[in-house]
Amino acid sequence: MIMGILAFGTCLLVSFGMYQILAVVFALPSGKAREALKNIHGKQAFLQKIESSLLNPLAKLFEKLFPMSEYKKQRMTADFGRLERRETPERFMAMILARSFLIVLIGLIFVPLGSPILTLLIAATAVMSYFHATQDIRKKVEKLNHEIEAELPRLVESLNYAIPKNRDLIAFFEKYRKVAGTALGRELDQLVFDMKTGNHSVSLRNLDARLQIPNVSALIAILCGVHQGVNQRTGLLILEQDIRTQQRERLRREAERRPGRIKAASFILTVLMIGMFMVPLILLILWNLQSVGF
Amino acid sequence: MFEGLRDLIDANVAKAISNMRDRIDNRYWKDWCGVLIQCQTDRQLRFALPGIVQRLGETRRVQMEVDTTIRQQFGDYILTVLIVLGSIPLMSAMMPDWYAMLMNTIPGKITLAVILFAVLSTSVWVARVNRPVDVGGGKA
Repeated sequence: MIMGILAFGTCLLVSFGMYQILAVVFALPSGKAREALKNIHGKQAFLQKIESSLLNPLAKLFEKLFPMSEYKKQRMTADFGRLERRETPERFMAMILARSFLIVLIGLIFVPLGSPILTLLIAATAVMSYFHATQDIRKKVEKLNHEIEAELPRLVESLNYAIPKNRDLIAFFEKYRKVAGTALGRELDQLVFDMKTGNHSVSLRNLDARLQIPNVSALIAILCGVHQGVNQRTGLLILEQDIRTQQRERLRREAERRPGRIKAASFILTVLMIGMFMVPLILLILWNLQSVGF
Repeated sequence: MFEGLRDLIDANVAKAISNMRDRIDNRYWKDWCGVLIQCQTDRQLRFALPGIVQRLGETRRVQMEVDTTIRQQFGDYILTVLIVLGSIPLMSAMMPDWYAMLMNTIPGKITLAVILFAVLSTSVWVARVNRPVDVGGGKA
């Protein structure tokens, strides 16, 4: 028996040694080299492996099962373009749906384990993560829009003083681009590129379609007039006043919301203080009831 | 700094203004410097500078109005915190049974922990009210 095991071990060692020698002689790739060739773009992280093996097939299925309306698709494509995301809206929605679906499936494990409440909680988390992911894109775009809107008064003011002297919109935007903020600057780059390579009015309308900000739409209408040779000084002045009034009112609205926060904090503390007095009282009552045999 | 940079290092005024602009993180300052840079090539744009100062004035006016309202509310909040925290030693002096229940039982300890957490978290939440108001939603 022992001799047999020793013979088997010797055979194994000899085979391994022969393999090593032959690998050197015939220049066979080592195991490490094969692994490196498999992951030529870097080793995949655990989450990436899950994504490629589980999420992607599910997402492909959901993409086919739940088609997106044309309006929503166009709006999301514009948003993705502004956020410099390369994936398609259908793919994005299918991915977040697949992710939520997987979370629900993981939650189902707790049903046979005897805690269905955990399953319900995980299902609620999955629903929340789905809505959070869908709203996240919108929030990021709104942040960009706020940045652009905050910069609009300066842009309109500059236009108001620069246009009477020189009606060249490309030259104006190129100069303004040098001092513009990040969000508006990116859009101006695109606008200047479009204006140089195509029609002025179409480029301006494309900018309007991308941003979908009411004040920008008004400005675009004025700029189209400027391009056609109409004197739009009054229009720019009125727009500037409108934007300024809107910003002032927005500031006031934001400011008026703040004292409410302090009131809410005081209310929470008051309720908790009542709770602090109620807990010992209830405990004492329960204790007394237990001591008399209830 | 601006003078030194312009006189001794680089005569490019636009670059010096740009350097100066990046030193202060304020929207209106950045706007003002931006227009000032544009003024180097278009003198007409100097008339746009007072508009930015006016907007800054409006923002400061709104900020001051909010500060006045907040100060009053802030006093009420601090009073509430003092009452909540002061009621614990007061309870030990006036109702020792209740105090013992609060300190020596699990539900009591949990209640105390929740209250202390609420005091800390609401104080952070309330402190953030003092941030300056801004049209862009970020820092003014």
